[in-house]
Amino acid sequence: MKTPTDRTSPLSPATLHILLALAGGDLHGYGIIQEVARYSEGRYKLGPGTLYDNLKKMMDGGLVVDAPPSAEAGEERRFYRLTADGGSALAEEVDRLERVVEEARLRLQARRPEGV
Amino acid sequence: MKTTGILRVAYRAIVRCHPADFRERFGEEMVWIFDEESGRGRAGRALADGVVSLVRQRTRGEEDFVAVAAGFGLLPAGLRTGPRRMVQGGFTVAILFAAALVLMGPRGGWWFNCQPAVPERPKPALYAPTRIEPLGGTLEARAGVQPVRHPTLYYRGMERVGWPCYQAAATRVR
Repeated sequence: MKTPTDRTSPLSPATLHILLALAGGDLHGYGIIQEVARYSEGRYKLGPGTLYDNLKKMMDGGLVVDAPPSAEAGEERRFYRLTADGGSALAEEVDRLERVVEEARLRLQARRPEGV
Repeated sequence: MKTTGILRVAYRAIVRCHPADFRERFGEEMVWIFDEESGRGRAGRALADGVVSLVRQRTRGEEDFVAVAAGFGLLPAGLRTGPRRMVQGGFTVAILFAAALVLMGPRGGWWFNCQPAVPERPKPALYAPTRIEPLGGTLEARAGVQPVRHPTLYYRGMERVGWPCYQAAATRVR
């Protein structure tokens, strides 16, 4: 039985961004694109093809599922929801990135000339 | 048809080329997002993204691909990675070529930024000459910048000749 980490780590940038966007709540496809553009301040732009290509993989892997339709908005669009496995995969990826950043900082400090 | 309309047709064609299960699940949403992106002037980028997605979807599942191709007699059984990659590469090129054909449109205009050979003008209102008299001789019609000598009958009283897609100024040549 594969764990979420076995299936996904290290996550591709697109997968990481989609999981991050869905960590804030259920979103439809275009909502994910807008949310990623918002918190990355426009530096990371997802196209529809990339979005659904990754969403399909994530749904097949059990990281994301279809959310029940939103009754209040009367939306016909499909919403997507992060699963517990998806949350675990995101948390583990964040831990991995933290270790990378920590290691990078140590090495950069070691390279820094004295007195700078 | 405007450029945006051509891109939309091309994008729909790309979506239709995706595997059936993917298309049925996400196709309409992809077109919806494409429309939203078009409204923000990002149609070209979304189109390119669709082509990349198509290639990814079509080249995923190498075993399935080879099994299907072998089933149609396109590949001998037991192929190794090299030939598989070649076939997949050929398949990808074929998809891109088909997408380029769609982008070219009926007159090959948008993709290669070509102008139509003959400027499109409103269809002429043909009128009946008051007097029709076949003269014989040669008609010189100016179509765009290319003069065309048209050996046909010329009818007195007709100063203009209607063509299917443009109206050429015609002068009689003795």
